[in-house]
Amino acid sequence: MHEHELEQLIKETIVQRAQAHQDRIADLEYRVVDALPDRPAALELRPTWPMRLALATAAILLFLGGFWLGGTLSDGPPCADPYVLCLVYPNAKSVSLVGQLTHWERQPMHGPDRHGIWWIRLPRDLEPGRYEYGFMVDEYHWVHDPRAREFVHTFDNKINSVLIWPPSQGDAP
Amino acid sequence: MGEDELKLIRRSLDGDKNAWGEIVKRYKISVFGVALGILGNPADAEDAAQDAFIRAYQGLHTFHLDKRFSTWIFAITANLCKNKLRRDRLLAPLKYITRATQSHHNPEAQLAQDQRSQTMRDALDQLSPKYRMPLVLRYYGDLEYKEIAEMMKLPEGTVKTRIHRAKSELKRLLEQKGVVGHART
Repeated sequence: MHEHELEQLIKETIVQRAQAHQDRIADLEYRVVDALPDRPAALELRPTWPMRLALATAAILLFLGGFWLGGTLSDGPPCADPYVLCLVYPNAKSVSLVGQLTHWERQPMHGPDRHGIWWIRLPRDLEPGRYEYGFMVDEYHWVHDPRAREFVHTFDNKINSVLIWPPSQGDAP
Repeated sequence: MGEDELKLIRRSLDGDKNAWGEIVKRYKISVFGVALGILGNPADAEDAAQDAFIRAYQGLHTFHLDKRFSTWIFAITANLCKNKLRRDRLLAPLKYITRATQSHHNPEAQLAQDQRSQTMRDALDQLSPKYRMPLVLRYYGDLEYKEIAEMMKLPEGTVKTRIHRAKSELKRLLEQKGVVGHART
């Protein structure tokens, strides 16, 4: 028996075997759909135009206010703010937030600053809950958040970070 | 991946369960085949296929849209099967042997074909899962050695060796049953 005959026979045997039992999976799509968990509603991270206007006004006022008070403005991202997620990744060309917070869509993060920090601000109306997420670096590498308090292993051996909202006192965001 | 399929996956990512149902409909027979090929037991394969589609939906964000979806879903299925085998220690020959029900115009040819298929089924079932899994993924799932190696967390050379040994063992078993003549490879 030639190699290709043997390989063909292996394939045919499995195909026939699956076909002989295909009545078992006749309604599989319905069973799967019934068993699927609901995805959490997507949170809108892209600011709307009125929000952008309000943010721009607030930024100008803050800038002017800073000078008026004689204070100095921070030159780095506000990583101490619990509403901000940060990742230090100096060599990355792009970093996106991906998770239940973004409906698993890639949400580009700001950065990097001169210290290689990337950051993204969470919506102010974030509902209390538990959100799995991660960072997609250079459109390919799945990176967990070293500042997260919890992690979960996914079925394909990746690690998702977990954001518990609101954070308890003393927690890093 | 076709544009249509890409849309279904994007809709699934947005939480459209019916779009995922359509994906299941398209891939269920091949996913079931992979599970059945590895596990050998139709009931277990059915459970594994259902579980694979549910897990795939939950982890859909980790799927790279520029890759083959079949490779990804087969990987999930194979991992589930591996875990199942590990749990159940299903290393003994499998109990569930079934016969195909295809009709054939030539009774003699049908008999010969049936005998070959039956013997191959028996031979596949006698293989250790560590040989059967890469064999099924290679010749039924059409996966590359490299993809199987990544999935099984083994060096590519080890995967090639296991497949080679699996085929040699299958040939030996087929020859032992007198279904085929001596190998001419």
